[in-house]
Amino acid sequence: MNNIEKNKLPLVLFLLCGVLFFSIDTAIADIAIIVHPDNIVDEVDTENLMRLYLGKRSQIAGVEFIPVDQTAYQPIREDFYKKVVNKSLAQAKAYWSRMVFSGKGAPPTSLEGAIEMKEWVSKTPLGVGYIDTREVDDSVKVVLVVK
Amino acid sequence: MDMKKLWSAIGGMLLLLASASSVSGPSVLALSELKISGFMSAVGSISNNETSYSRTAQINDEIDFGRETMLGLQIDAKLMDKLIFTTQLLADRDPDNYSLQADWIFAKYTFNQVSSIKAGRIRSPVFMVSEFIEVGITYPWVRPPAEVYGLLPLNSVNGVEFRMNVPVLDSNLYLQGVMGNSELDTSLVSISGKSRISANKVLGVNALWSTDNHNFRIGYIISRLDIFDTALATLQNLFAAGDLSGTAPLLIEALRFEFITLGMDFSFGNISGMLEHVRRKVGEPINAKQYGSYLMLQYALGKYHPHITYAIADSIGFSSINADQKSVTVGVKYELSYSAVLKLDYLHIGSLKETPGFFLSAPTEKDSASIVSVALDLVF
Repeated sequence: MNNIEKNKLPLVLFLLCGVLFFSIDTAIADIAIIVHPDNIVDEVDTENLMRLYLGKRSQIAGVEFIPVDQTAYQPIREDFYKKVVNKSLAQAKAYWSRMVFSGKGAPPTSLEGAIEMKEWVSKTPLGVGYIDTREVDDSVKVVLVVK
Repeated sequence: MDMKKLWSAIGGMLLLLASASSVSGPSVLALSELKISGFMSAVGSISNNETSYSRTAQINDEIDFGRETMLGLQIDAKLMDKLIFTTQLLADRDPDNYSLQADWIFAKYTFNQVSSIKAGRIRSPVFMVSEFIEVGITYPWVRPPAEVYGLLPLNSVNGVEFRMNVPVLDSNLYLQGVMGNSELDTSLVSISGKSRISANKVLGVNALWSTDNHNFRIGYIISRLDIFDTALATLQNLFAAGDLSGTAPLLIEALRFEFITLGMDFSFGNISGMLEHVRRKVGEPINAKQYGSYLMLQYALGKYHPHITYAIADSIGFSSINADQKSVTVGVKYELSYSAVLKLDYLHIGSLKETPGFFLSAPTEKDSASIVSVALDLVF
């Protein structure tokens, strides 16, 4: 019996690692779309947000916005592009390469993490960014939560 | 392969990059913002046919890792709020030695969110990917199908471009007008092997309707071409002692050239695709009509993007510039990272119908070819 249990040990460990891996994967929190607290817009939808982050629009509900990104190695950026922009990071890079190298436009400026993004949005009346919902505080206003 | 010249060119660009990076704030040239971006492609190809294929790629039965390898740097300098100066420097092999050239150099003034104007040397916006054709990461193949992209030898125009971006409901309508002139050294039309095409009064209009999942494009370009035989001029200079004028004989004057393009791309979930159709009409005395089309379908399988393309070029009448051929490309693009891709393409070409197709000359051994290409493309 003991032998059988020993033989099953690698399988149990493998399953445990799998459960842990998927737990970590699903543990990624929701994404809060944040704007300046004084912004008159209270709500945005993912379609308009996608167009804003692809440079196809500069306004939502008649209000001008300046989008900012998180740097490419922040895990939340991959999640944001998958859920909101419907593109992988590589597809987004290819899209912006087409725009940059044809002289049509430039991607949003990238900021380093939630603290820097909150600070920038809280000081920029037209700014819009995204952070983990757990990082939200009174310095910014949440206009959409992406699950 | 003259690798020394490639490295000299890369060195020159890095030097430029370093000096540009050292520009600090408004004290130097009053620059408020300087952005530097770049791209690189390392491409290797081999064919089972000894006759070289493609004017730009020149693929034959000897493996070559240099012909399509290139490095590009783009510098965008914001001179004022609405005025941007852009230059794109390209180090590539054309045709035998690596050289550094300013592929683009223009100033762009943005009037408002809808309209802008560019002046300088600009890319001819003829096909779906022609404005970023050197940036391999932006399309699935190692190189776009010659049946369409090989029909217009003019890459850039010296002139002005007016562009409008009109929001229409949830989509955008981009309108573009280009006016200028262009020059190209080629062997397409010549008696002795080398000719220079001078395109005067190039006029082009394009409309692109862009939705979240589709892009539809229509373009029209017209020009008058003067074609000079430059190789004949060199011969004349060699033999006609005392009369070294150096003027290349004019072979054809004011040749009417017309180009119509239709294109579309789409994406539905994991499936995406692109198709284009072109019609080229060249007036008297060449008098040639040429069609080219392709359809590409691609499937996203995680980081793998397998794709298949069927392309056809068909000509009407008899002319030295006719190109008839069919090809199938099967390939895969693999995302190494968010800014680098690895590509593998298998291209089979056939059905030349008494023309050289897009081979440099009519193949002598067999009238088909199978080409395998690998590419590493990255942007930075």
